Amino acid sequence: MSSHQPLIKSLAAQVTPSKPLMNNDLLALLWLLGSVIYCLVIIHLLGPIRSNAYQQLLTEPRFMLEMLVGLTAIVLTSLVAFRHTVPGALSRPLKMAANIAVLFWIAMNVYGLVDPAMEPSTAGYRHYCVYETFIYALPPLLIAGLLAWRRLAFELTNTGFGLGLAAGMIPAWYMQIACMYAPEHMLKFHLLPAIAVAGLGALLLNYKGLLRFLKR
Amino acid sequence: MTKAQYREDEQRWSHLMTAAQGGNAKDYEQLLSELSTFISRYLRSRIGAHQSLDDWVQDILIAIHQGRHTYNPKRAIRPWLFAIIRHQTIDGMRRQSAYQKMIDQRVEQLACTENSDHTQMEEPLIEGYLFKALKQQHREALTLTKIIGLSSKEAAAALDISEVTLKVRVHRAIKQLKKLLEAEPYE
Repeated sequence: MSSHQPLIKSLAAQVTPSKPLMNNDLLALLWLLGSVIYCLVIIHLLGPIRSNAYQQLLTEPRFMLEMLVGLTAIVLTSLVAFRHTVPGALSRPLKMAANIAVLFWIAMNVYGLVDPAMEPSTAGYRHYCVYETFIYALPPLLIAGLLAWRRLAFELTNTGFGLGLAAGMIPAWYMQIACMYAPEHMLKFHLLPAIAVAGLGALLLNYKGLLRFLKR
Repeated sequence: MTKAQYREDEQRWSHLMTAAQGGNAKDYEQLLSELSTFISRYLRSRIGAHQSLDDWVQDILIAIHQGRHTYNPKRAIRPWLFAIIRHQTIDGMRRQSAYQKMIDQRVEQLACTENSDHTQMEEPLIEGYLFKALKQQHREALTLTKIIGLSSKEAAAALDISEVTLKVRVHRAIKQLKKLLEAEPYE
């Protein structure tokens, strides 16, 4: 009889039927869809949208490309973050693809500093876009955190960062349409708050790690 | 392990885990018993037979229990199982506090002896081939701090290096060990 038998017997005695988990990718996409709808509605309700933004999407191919790359980055980051919540579900190629998409999106905007996709303008400027991006991302982050909590995330900091980044990038992405277009403005006032939300996500999920760090 | 045996284990474990998710205690007990033997053997061959191994196996069994609802019966069980094994093993190495208390006495002895022979203490560890794969200096740092339980200061003094260098070596050793475990096939 192995030395683990008492533990095994005790664990087996505790076993109760458990509900099967919803598919990770489906859950991520449902969360993403809900979050995008919520962000679009709240951004439209609480401020004016740049009047010619949708027209610019059709007439400025590079702007359209930036938006598509941003959306791809959000989708991939969401999939990766949710896969983090189940052991062994995350594959390296998917993680790499998500990282590349996010970096490519940022790189496109950094490149825009020297060669913008279209003429930068203050048209459609929203005075509090930096706070809006941060605050609008919080409800999706909290919901994602609750969903992750019911699963088995091992790398809590990475998982929280990923969920926060996905949540933060949604309003940051749509601010490209709702707010003024200028790469510098985007990087400072839309993307930085998204990264702050990612940091907050890491702290929220790994709050025990934070407490240990503070006690040092 | 032959391919047929690999497939057979895979199917049986998956079947038992599915039954466990349905609340079948008998199948669950059988699964945990089989996994306990498998995990002990796996860790012993990779990391070596030392006192903490049983604790790690217990931690892994508890993690399997806590996360059993996350296993998807439509997928292979090994990637799920090995993700838990790797994480708990590395986590166990990082913690080590209980083990540290047990060997306090031994630690003091070692710290006071300038020319202590670390190889004697390391002996059971280096049976594990993943430990062997680490660089000598990384293995020493990891053994002294995480396995034997010396403080950073004591281990640095024993190795005649600065505390910062020791911490860097320990960090790199754990990172390397994690990589090696991740690169392992699911066997």
